[in-house]
Amino acid sequence: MKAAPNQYRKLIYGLLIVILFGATIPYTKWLNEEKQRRDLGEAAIGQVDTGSFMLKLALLGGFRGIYVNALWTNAEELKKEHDWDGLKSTVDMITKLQPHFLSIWTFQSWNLAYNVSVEWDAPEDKYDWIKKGIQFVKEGVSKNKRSPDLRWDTAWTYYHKLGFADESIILRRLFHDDEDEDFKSYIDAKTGVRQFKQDNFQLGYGWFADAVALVDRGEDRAQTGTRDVEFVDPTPQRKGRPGDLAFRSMPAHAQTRYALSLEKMSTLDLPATFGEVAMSEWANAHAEWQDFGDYTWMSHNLVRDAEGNLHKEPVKLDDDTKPEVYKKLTENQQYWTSRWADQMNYRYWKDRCAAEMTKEGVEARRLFYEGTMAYKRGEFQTAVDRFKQGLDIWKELLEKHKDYRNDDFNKKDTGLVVKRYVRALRQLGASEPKDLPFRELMTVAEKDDTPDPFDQTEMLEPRRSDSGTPGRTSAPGR
Amino acid sequence: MSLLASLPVLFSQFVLPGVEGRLRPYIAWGILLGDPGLTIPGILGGVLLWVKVVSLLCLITWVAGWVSSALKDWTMGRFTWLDYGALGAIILGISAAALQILEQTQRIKVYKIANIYSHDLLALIAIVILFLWVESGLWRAIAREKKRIDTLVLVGIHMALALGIAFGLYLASMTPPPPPGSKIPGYTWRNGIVDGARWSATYMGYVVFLRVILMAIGELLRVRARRLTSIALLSITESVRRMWAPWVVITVFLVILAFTHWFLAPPRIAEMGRIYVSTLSFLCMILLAVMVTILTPLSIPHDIQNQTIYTVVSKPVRRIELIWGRMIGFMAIVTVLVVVFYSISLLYLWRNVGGAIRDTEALASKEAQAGRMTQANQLRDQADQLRNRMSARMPIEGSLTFLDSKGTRHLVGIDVGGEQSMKRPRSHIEGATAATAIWTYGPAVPDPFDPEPDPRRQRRLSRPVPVETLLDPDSLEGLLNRVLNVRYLIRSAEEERNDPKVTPARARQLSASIDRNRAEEKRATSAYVKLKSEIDEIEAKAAALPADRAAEADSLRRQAEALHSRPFTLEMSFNVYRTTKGRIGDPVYAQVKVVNPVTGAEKDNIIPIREYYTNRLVIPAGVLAGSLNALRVEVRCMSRTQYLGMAEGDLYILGKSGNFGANFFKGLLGVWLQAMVLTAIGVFAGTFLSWPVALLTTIFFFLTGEVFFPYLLEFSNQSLLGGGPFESMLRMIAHENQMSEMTPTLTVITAKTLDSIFNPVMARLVYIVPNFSALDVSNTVSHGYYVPWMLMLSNGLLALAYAVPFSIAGYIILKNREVAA
Repeated sequence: MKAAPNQYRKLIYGLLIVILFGATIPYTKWLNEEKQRRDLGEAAIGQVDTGSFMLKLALLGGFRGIYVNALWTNAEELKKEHDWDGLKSTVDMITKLQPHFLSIWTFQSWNLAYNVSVEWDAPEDKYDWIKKGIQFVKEGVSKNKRSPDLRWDTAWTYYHKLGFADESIILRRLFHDDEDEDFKSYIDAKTGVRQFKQDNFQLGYGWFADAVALVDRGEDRAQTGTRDVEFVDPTPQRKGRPGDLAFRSMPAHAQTRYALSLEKMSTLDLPATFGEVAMSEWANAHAEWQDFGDYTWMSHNLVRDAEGNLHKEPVKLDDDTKPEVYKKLTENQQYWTSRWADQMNYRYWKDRCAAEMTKEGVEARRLFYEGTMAYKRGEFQTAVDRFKQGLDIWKELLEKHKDYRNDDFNKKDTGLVVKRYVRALRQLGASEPKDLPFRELMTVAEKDDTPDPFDQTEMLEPRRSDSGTPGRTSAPGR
Repeated sequence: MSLLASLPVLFSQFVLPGVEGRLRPYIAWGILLGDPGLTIPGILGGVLLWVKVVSLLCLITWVAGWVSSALKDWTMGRFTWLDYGALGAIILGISAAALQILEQTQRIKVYKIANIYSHDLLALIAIVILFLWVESGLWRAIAREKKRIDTLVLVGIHMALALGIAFGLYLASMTPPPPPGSKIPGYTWRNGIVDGARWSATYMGYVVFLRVILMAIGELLRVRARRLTSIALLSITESVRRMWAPWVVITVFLVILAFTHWFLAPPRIAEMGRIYVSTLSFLCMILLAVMVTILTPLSIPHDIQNQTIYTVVSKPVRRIELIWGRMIGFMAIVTVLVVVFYSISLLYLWRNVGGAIRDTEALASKEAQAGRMTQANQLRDQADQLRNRMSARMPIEGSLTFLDSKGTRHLVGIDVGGEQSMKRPRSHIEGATAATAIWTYGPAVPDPFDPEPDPRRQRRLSRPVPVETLLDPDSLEGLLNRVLNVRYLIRSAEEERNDPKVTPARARQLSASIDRNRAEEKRATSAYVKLKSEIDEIEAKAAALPADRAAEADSLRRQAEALHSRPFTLEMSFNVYRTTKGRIGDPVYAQVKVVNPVTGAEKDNIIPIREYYTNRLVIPAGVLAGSLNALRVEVRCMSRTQYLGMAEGDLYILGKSGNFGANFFKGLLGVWLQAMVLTAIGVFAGTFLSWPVALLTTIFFFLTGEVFFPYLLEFSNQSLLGGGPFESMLRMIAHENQMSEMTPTLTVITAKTLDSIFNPVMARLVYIVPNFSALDVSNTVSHGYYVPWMLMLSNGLLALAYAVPFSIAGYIILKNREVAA
C-alpha cells in the first residue's frame, strides 16, 4: 500500500530535525574550543549579566545595532532636555546591549561624572552624579576585566573629578563620610588583597596601580587569540601603550597628592595630619617615584651599535638624578633621559618627596600649618613663633634638596609663609629680621593673592558678620 | 452670522481685496471648507479638518473602488486607445518629475512653453489624460451596475468640481492685478483654476461623504445589541481558546515584572517613581499593542479561510455588527487586561516605591543621628520628591513676565546661552538687581504676548486663583474673604450708582443690592470678629500656661490653628546659572514675594534654591482673603553675580494633591484608547486582506503612528534634512552627511525623482496614520501631575475620530466583498 504523501513529508521533516540537531553537537564542541583558543567567550572577557544576555537574545541579529543607535540619539536628546535620570537609564540600557563596547563606558562615565554633575548646583548632588559615573565605569571594568583603559578611567575619576573639582574640599568630605564599602575599596595590584580607604586619592592610586599592573602583565584589548582577527570597528587601546610616560607616572602622582593633602585641611572640617602617618605616606610616594624612575623605556630612535645593527637604547629617568651614572650613558641615552625627565618634572617630584618624607620636612609643615591657623585667628605671637621655627628647619632642609627648592611650586608655597610671617611681625610692631630666610621670595608673594583651592583654611573661611546678602563670597584673608 | 464674522482676518483682508464686503464671509467659508490645509482654532476647527480629511479619503476610496471593480470586470482596461493613453500618462508623469529634478539640479536648462514650465505642462497633460480615463471608466462602470445612488453621486461630484473651478475663477476675476512694477505676481485665472481644482476635490469629497453617511445611518439604525454581544462573545472565546492571548500577555507581563531589576535600575531615589511608572505604562502599552496587532487582523481572514463566516453571514447579522462586534469583543479583553495590569502595577509600585520612600527616610534619620546633616537633608529631599511624584498634583499656573535689572518690563528674561531645545526653554534673572520674574494670577490677566498697545483692548487670559477652594468658608480667612468681597461689591455698586448716566431703574436695582450686601457684610463681619476673639482667647490661654504644661499649650494652639484655613503651597523648580563659583557650597537664594494686589497683603520669603528638586514654600492662607481671585508672585535672585532661570510652568500654586491610583488609571486609559484605534485598524485590514498582509498592515500602522510619527510630520512640513527616503538611502550608502549637495549623477537624479513622487504620498499619511503618542498621558502621570478629565474626554474623541472611520471603511469593504460567494 502506498503511504500518504503527508506521512512522507513528516518522515522527511523528522529526519531533517534529527540530522540538524545531530550536527549541532560537533559544531558546539568546535565552537567552544575556538572560543577557548581565541579567548572570545563572554565569561572570558568579563562578568556575565543575565539581563544583558536576555536583551541581546530578544534583539537578535542586526536589530541590536539599530536599537543602540536609537538609544544613543535618545540619550543626547535627554541630555539636552536636562532629564538626567532618563539619560542614566538609557545609557544603562546601551551597556546591557553592548557591554564589550569600551567607548560607551568611557564616554558615558565621563558624561555622568563631569557633564551631568556640573549641571547640579548643590555639592552633595554633584557628588551623587560623580559617584554614579565612577560606579558606571567600574561596572564596565567588571564586564571587561582585561581593559587597562577602563581601570585608568576609574582611577582618573576618583583622582581628578573628586580631588581637583572646585568643590573638592566638600566632595572629599562627602567621600570620607560615604559608608559604601564597595565604592571605597580596590584590589591591591601587588598583593591582590581588597583595600578599604577613606581618601579618594588612595582609591585613585589603587586603580592607577592596577591599570599599570595590567599592562605589565601584557593585557590589552586585543586578546591573544584575536590579534589576527580583522575587526570592522576595532577598539584601540588608549592607555598604557609603549612610551606612555604619563600613564605610568599616575600611581606616583596619586600617592604624592594623597601625602600632600594630608598636611592641610583638604577635606571639609577634618584637621591636617602630620607625624609618622605623613612621613610614611611621603615615603610611599618617594618609593613610587623611584619605581617610575627605574622603569626601562626604549628610546624612540634607532642607534647603530658596534656590530652595525640598528636598535633602540634603554632609558631610565632616574639616571637623570645620578650624575655618575648619567655620565656613562651614550649621547642618545642622555638626550632621552633628560628630555623625558624634564617632561615629567621627575627631579622635582622625587626631590620633593625625599624632602617631605623626612622628620624635618613633616615638622616644618606642621609648624607652617599651626602658624597659619594662629595667623588667621589673630594670634600673631604664636604665628610668629611657629613660622620662625618652621622656616629655620625648612631652610636647612632645602639646602639638601636644591631641585625642590628652586622649583616654582615651592617658591609660591614658601613665599606665602614668609609673607605671613612678616605681616604677623608687623602686627606685633616688630621689624623684619635681618636673617629672614627666603627673603627673595617676598616680592613675588606680595603680588600673588591666589588662594590654594584645595585648602579649607584658604577657601572657606567664616563669613564676615557684616555681609548683608546671604551667600556673599568673602575674600580670603591673605 | 456671528460665526461667519469670526473667521480669520486673513481671508477678508488679504486674499479677497476685490470682493464686496458682504460676500467676504461666504467666500472665506468657501475657501475654508475647500482647502484641506486651512483650519480655524478650537474644537470646531478640529471637527472641520476631520470632516475634510475623511471626505477626501471617501472620495479617493470611492473612485478607487469603482475603477478597480471596472478593471476587474473588464469595463476598463480593454486596451482601447484611452487605456494606452493612461499608461502613457503615467510614464509622462514620471518623466515630468524627472524633468523637474534635472532642471533643479541644473543638468538641463529650464524650458517654458507659453509661459508655462515644461515639466508643469507635461504633468498637466498626464493629469488630463488620467482624468479622462478615470472619468470614462466611472461612467461606464456605474452605468453597468445601474445603481441610482451612485449615479447621483457621480453627477454630484461633477457639480462639485464645476463649483470649485468656477469659485476659483470667480476669485481670480475679482482680485485686482498687482500694481505696475510690483514684484509680487498677481492672482491670475491660472491660479484660480489650480486652487479651484484643489477646493473642488474637497467639495467632491463632501458628496461622497454624504453618500457614506446615508449608507451608514441606515445600517446603524439596524444594529442590535443582542447580535453585537454574541459576535463580541464569539471573538472573546476565539481569542482565549485559540490563541490563549490574554494568558500569554499576563504571563509575559508577570515574567518581565519579576525580573525588572535585570533591566532597570533607577538612577536616583528621587526619580524612581517616574522611571518605574513610565516603564510600567510603556510595558502595558507594548504588550496590549502587540496582542491587538496579532489578534485583530487575523480574525476575519481566519473566518473566511475556515469558511465559518458563511454560517454567520447567512444569519440576519449586519456587516457593521461583524466589525463592531469584533471590536467590542477585543476591547473587552483589553479592558480586562488593563484592569489586571493596573492592579498588578499598583501593587508593584506600592511595594517598591513605597518601600524606597520608607528606606530613604530611615537612612536620612540614620545620617542625621550621625550628625551628617547635608546627607540627611539630601535624602529627605529625595524621599520628598519621590512622594511628590507618586501623587496627582494639580498645578494652578499664572502668566509670567519679567522685569530686567533696570526695572523695565520684558516678555522674557536673559538668555544665558543654554540649550534651548528643551520643552520649556528658560530665561534668567540677574542676582542682587531689580530683575524680577512676576507670575500674575487673576480672572482676566492681560496676555503679555498680545502686541495690542492699548491695555483695555489686550487679549485676556483666565488665570484665576481658586480662592473658594483654597479657603475654608467657615475659617477666619474664609470669613474675612467674605467680608472683603461683599465690601468690594458694595463699593462697585456705589460707583455705578453715582455715575450720572445710570438709569433710575438700574439705580434702584443697585440700591437694593447695596442694602442686601450691607446686611450680609454686617453678618459676616460679626462672625469674623467673634471667631477672631475666640482664636485670640485660645492663644492667650496657651501663652499663659507654664512651661511644664507644654502639651496642654500645644493642644490649645492646635485648636486655634484648626479655626484657620490651611496654608497653601507654592511649588517651584528653577535652575541656577552661576557666573562665578561664589563661596563654595553656598546655595543661590531667591526672594519669593506673594502679593494680594487688591488688599496689598503680602508674604515675603527668602529660600535657598535646590536645582532639579521641587522647592516648596508654604504661604499663610490670609494673603488670599479679598484677592478677588488675583495674586502676584514676584521672584528675585538674591545672590550677587548669579542667575536664576525659569519658565512659566516652573512656579505654580498647588491646587490639590489628588490620588495617584486614579491618575495612574487615567494613564492606562490612554493605553486603552491606543488599543481601541489599533483594534479598528486591525479589523479594517482583515476585511480585505489575507491575514499575513493584514498583520503587516497593522504593524505598519502601529510602528508609524507610535515610533515614526515625528518623521511623518517632518515629511508633511517638508523639513526633512537630507532629502526623502531614496536620497537618504544614497547618502547612507555613500557615507555623505545630511547637508552637503550631492553631485547630480544618474543615481542621484533617479533617487530624487522617486522621492518627488513618493514624498507627497508619505506626507498625506500624516492624516491617516493615528498619532498614538497624542493619546498617551503617562508622562504627566509619571511626573506626578493630575490628568484632567477634560483631556481624557478630548483624547477619547480623538481616538473615536480615528476608530470610527476605519470601522466604517471596513464595513463598506465587507459589504461590497463577496464573502459568501
